[in-house]
Amino acid sequence: MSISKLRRWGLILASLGILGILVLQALVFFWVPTEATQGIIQMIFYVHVPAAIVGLYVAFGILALTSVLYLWLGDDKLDQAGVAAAEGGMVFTTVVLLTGPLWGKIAWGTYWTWDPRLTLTLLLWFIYLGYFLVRASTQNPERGKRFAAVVGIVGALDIPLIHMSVLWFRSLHPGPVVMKPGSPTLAPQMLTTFMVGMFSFILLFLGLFALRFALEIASRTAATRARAAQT
Amino acid sequence: MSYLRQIYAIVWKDLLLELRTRERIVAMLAFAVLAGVLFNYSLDRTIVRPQDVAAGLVWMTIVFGGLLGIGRTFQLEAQDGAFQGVLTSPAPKDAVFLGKTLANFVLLYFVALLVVAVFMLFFSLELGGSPGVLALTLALGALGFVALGTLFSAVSSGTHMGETLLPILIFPLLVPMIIYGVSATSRLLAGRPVSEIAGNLRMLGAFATLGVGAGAFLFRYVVEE
Amino acid sequence: MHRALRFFSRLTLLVLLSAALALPAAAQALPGTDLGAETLRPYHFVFLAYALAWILVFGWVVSVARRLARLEKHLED
Repeated sequence: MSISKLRRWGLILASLGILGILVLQALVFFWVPTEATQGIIQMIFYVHVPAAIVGLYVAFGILALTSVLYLWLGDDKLDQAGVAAAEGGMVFTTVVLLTGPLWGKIAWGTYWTWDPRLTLTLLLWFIYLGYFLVRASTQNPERGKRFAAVVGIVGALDIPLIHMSVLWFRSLHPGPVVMKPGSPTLAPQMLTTFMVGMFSFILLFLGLFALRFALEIASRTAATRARAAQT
Repeated sequence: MSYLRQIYAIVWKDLLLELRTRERIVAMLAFAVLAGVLFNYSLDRTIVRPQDVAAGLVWMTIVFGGLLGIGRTFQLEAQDGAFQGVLTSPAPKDAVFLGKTLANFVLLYFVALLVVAVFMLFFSLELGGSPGVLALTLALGALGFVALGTLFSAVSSGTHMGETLLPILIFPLLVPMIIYGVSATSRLLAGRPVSEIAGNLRMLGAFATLGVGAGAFLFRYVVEE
Repeated sequence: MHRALRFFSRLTLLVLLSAALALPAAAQALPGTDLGAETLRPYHFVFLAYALAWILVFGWVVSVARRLARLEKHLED
């Protein structure tokens, strides 16, 4: 895909995502009923869970996939896509890590607990950090790309084990309420609001992913040109 | 040369190098003993009994002391381009990785056993009823740790951050090893039956398999020029 | 396309600024000692959570849009 095409699609998707987020905010303010047992604090759910699904699953999935394919095929585009996904993933994971404790303080009475999902999210954040650090601290960019891909792959392989181990260690986190087998346990209005949030986050992420991808391609074109001009 | 002989050649070369220089092993052993001394003064015995936290201390000492040595796996050979020689040898890259990992494992396992011995001495620990299983627990954990450590040591020594990058890359990945390793060790030290920790040993085995497998597969991309 | 990008980043900058302005108010209300403030705390937390989320997400939007616009201008020259 060319830069201009990526840019066009990125803008369209991101605009739709932002529109969706405005709708979500309106729904949260004016429409969705307050949850009976948790009260108002449950509203954090509509931004926390979509951010978690995007940052933990979508972004990291793309990162893991592009890392494997990059080492296999060596196509520069794959590495550029990986960077774009990792940056988005880090942003959304940070959202999860900031909104989660605010909910936890009210619902659990503590900002932080060694709950499996909290722990996994924190560790994932550090894996993203490592992904950027190895790139930034290598003189030879080609090596940096391969190092980063290795970090992404080993992270992806280790995550199931980390997940199992922290789950085994302790669990306090509320179970899944949407994707549970059988019918969802959310009230219909809440489910609608959640779905609006989910879709807008995914659209926004995909749009921004495309824009960031275009940015990465353009910046490398600029770097190559600068190098060519020097010689 | 067969594959196993190639691995063996690397292991022997690394261990011989270590035997001659004794740099890494001395650093790791001294670290282990001194960490034990500092841990002793970091615990108020009127509040915590050292036996209760010994398993955690043992594993953290192994991790920190191990990083000290493993982080320098490629340091000595990086000088004079000696590692280029190893890479251009007919041995496949995964054999190089497995050889390096095994050599590191021998060093780290030696340190791990010494850490347990020193902590027994310092904190008057009882070894529990099954020292063999404890040795196996340490071996499985150390193997996974050493495999990931060797792989990421190759990564970090290729960056200008060097060894400072290693903990950031590797600590998030070590969580399964710490959780299952510490719980198995503390149960064994408390004299619980071996059947209680069978699951832990399986998970440590999975962790070691993952580390060795991923390292053997990915090492070639790390050292490629 | 350039105009769209610029509009985009201005809009998000506006959202960001308003959120940032509202933040201190929310933070001030946090250490609630009396009962009235205590029952209001979940509201402040929800507000804070949404403000932080939008600051981060839209901050990323602005950052990507600006970097892209700058780079494209650079490439055109």
